[in-house]
Amino acid sequence: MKPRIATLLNIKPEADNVVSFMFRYSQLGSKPGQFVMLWLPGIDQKPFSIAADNGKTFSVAVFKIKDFTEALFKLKPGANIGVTGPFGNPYTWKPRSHVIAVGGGYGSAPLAYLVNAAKVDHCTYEVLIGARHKKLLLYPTRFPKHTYLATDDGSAGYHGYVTALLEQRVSVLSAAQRKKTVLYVCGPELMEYAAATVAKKYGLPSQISIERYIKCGFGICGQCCVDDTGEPMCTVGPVISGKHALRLSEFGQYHRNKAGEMIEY
Amino acid sequence: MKIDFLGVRFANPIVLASGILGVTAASLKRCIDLGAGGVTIKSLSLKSRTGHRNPTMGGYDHFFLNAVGLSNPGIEAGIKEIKKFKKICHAPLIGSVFAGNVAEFGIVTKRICSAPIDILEIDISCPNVGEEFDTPFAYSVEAAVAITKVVKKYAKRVPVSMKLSPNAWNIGAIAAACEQAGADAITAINTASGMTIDSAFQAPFLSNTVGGVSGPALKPIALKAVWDVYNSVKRIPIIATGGVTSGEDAAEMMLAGGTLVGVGSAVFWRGPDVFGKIVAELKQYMKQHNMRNVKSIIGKAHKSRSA
Ligand SMILES: Cc1cc2nc3c(=O)[nH]c(=O)nc-3n(C[C@H](O)[C@H](O)[C@H](O)COP(=O)(O)OP(=O)(O)OC[C@H]3O[C@@H](n4cnc5c(N)ncnc54)[C@H](O)[C@@H]3O)c2cc1C
Ligand SMILES: Cc1cc2nc3c(=O)[nH]c(=O)nc-3n(C[C@H](O)[C@H](O)[C@H](O)COP(=O)(O)O)c2cc1C
Ligand code: FES
Repeated sequence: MKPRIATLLNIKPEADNVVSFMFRYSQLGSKPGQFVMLWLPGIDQKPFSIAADNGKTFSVAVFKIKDFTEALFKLKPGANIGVTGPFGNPYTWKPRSHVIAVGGGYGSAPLAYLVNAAKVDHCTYEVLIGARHKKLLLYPTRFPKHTYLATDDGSAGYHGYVTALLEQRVSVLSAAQRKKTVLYVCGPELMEYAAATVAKKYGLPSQISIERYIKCGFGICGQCCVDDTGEPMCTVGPVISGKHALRLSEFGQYHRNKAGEMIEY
Repeated sequence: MKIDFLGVRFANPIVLASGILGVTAASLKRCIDLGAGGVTIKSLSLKSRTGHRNPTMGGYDHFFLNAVGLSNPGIEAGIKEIKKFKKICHAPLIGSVFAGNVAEFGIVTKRICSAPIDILEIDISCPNVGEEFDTPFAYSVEAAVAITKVVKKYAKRVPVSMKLSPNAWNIGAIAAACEQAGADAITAINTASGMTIDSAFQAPFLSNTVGGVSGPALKPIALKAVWDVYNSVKRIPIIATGGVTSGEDAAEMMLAGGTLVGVGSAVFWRGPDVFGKIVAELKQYMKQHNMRNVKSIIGKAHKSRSA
């Protein structure tokens, strides 16, 4: 699996320190929920969720953190990077079902890809996005009339956690709606844990994207294996069912860093 | 398919090689559930290490290349995983350690042997940390002997297998010297030095520039190494490792002299259930050749040669 060259076409600021990068890259062949490894020769190679893919271009939405993401933010249109993937287990949906997407952080990116794909299959949908402050919300206006915002400080939308907002939304669904509803979740793990718990409480199926430290991305190094199943999240995940997630003893408790040391949430 | 190795009973001769999948107790147990007869933990060092920056590995049609840089959470965290493994799984566990100098090998050996490992493998052959550790100890008879002596001193009850490198031109002599110094077994082989250059970016692919080659391209080299070691040692058994992806490959490694067969990179081509697949194919091979006892394969190619 040699990396192929992707050429940066377009850079679009989305929120504070969050930028969408669109690359020219034919036939990535991805599904929503999968990720790519982006390689900047001489710098590093890191995993990013695919935010859109039309067969000619793909996009990622990136939060600026440190070395690698800072280097990405310095790229100018026309720059070449190396891409491998797509990797990982994607989200799945049934035609005409009701999608509730719950995102935090860059989670809105893969969820937007999912919603756009599910719309083609005549799904109905609502998008719930949470952040600490309104300036950190990713894609607050991408799906007008279908989006519900939550901020910890009340600067936009619901004042409180997006998972509390989720419970509000779920509790007003009719029995008929509930039957065809699936929750799709991507964001900080404690938010995901709360969302999985809401899903369980209301008997709704859920699909959750689990993030673990990725080295290879294709199931060899064991860096992303979770307790107590030992499954690598780069191949069995990132997307797993909420039920499965709640069975993982480390879900919402701890993860392992680049050395393999346990870090509590 | 049961086989005894240094007094430890393995359900079958296929063992997970160090550094592939098995970082935690749960991931090691999963390899047992998927058919391995035993597992080797990812090599541990005194202190935790993050390893090299990415890219640290790549898989290709006929080979795998890695320079992970021996990342690990350190010996104390590793011991917790070992203890946990023994609580959740009864299969044999091979510990693995490395260090930067002879004295430190003694210290990590002492620590890991306080944990319930069945066998200890000593990694003196990683080709990917040259800048930090200089030339691997497995390239020199003197260094290999010095380390064997110190680890044997501290390993006490735990049998020790020295893991050797195909990059040494005299692997047979090094194996014989390790045996004389007290080694209980030889693991042959670690990866062979290599690299890839990305033609599109006109740059080395690995962040470490150079790395270790494993997978099918390594198999003929591993076979020759096992063959040489088998000819050179007097009594000690071999964990034959390198490029095994099928039951037929495993049989060939045993014919060359391996008692156990290490499998790592094959996961890339055949998935994590490769262990069970290889065991089934090895059974089939034995049936086809009217062999009842898996032990009868070991070293058989040597006998036919002298006959
Ligand atoms: C499946 C998956 C999908 C992801 N999708 C996105 C995305 O769409 N947008 C986005 O902005 N970020 C995404 N990330 C996180 C992204 O990989 C990290 O933010 C990035 O690697 C940070 O690199 P850095 O050098 O800037 O910072 P660093 O200082 O190297 O890292 C900062 C933090 O980022 C995380 N991180 C770093 N490297 C990795 C790695 N190899 N694997 C997992 N986590 C890592 C760790 O929590 C670390 O503490 C995703 C991660 C995973 C596992
Ligand atoms: C990603 C990767 C990491 C490895 N890490 C270690 C290690 O930590 N310690 C070690 O002794 N060998 C390590 N090895 C070497 C393997 O244990 C094995 O000797 C080698 O890969 C040849 O076997 P294979 O072709 O079946 O993979 C590693 C190999 C790979 C591919
Ligand atoms: S990142 Fe290597 S196994 Fe998942």
